[in-house]
Amino acid sequence: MKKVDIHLNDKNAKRVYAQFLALLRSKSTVLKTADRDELKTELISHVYESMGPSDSEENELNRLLNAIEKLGNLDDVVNPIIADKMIEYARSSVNPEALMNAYVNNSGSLFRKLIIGITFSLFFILVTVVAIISVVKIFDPTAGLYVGPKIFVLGKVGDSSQAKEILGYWIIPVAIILAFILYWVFLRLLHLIKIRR
Amino acid sequence: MNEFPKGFFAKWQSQVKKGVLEYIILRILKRKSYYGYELIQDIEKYTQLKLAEGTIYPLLNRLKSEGLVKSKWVEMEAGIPRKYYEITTEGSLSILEMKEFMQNLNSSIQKLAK
Repeated sequence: MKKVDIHLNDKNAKRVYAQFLALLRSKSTVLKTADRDELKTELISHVYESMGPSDSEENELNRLLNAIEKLGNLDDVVNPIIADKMIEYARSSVNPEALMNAYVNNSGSLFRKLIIGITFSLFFILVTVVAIISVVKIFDPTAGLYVGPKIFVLGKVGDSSQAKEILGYWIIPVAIILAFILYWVFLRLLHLIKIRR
Repeated sequence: MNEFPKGFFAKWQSQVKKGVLEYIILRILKRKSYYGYELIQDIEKYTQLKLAEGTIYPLLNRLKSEGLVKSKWVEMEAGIPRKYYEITTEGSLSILEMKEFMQNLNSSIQKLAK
């Protein structure tokens, strides 16, 4: 997309416009470049239309200030777009950072953030442990899935008489498949956040 | 008798506005394609709702990601390109469902008011 700018003559109007663009840039840094440029162009286009014709009686600075004021608080414009975009990025990504960004931007109140944060962290630890066990089994044959009358362990047990290892080396493909399934569930849960918002 | 909570009406009004704005946007886009600034002018003209103009963009973005509207940039002979939004087939179908829901809701409220 080609770069666009509002051509201004008044020195103070130029300063206000530069501040507006700097604020918009600082609030939208987490967006991908293409999305950031698109949002910027759309808002510049809006301000330009809102300012009206350059031959109007009102001076340029006032027309610009009015246009920016009528646009409203930039947080109310940019934050919901960022929240939606983060979900979009997370949907097309398996990157935990993209998932966490999506969660942080979509959780609403602090209490809800905390609950969802703890749930997702536990879920993420579970996925990681399951994935790690498939690697550990290659180097340490005593690691695996142990089941006993009172215990259920994914890893290693001190006293092997208390539990019996099941699956053996089958734990490797099973753990890999399970990790993928859990991660898929993780992504679906993230989708639910969007529906509830 | 309890005092009417300060600011309650304003909050309630703002929530109702938010709730129906997507429906209003789709109804207006059904007439023709619009760019953002033009759309907000027509929303105010037809509904007398006063909105911060920027609030329309997150809604348009969401409607677009749900596939209810689509957009395209149009270069202008003079000035800055405009991003035009138009309703999709899915958007038109959604209007019918939303309209039915609004009508049912309205008649239920009318019954309660009697």
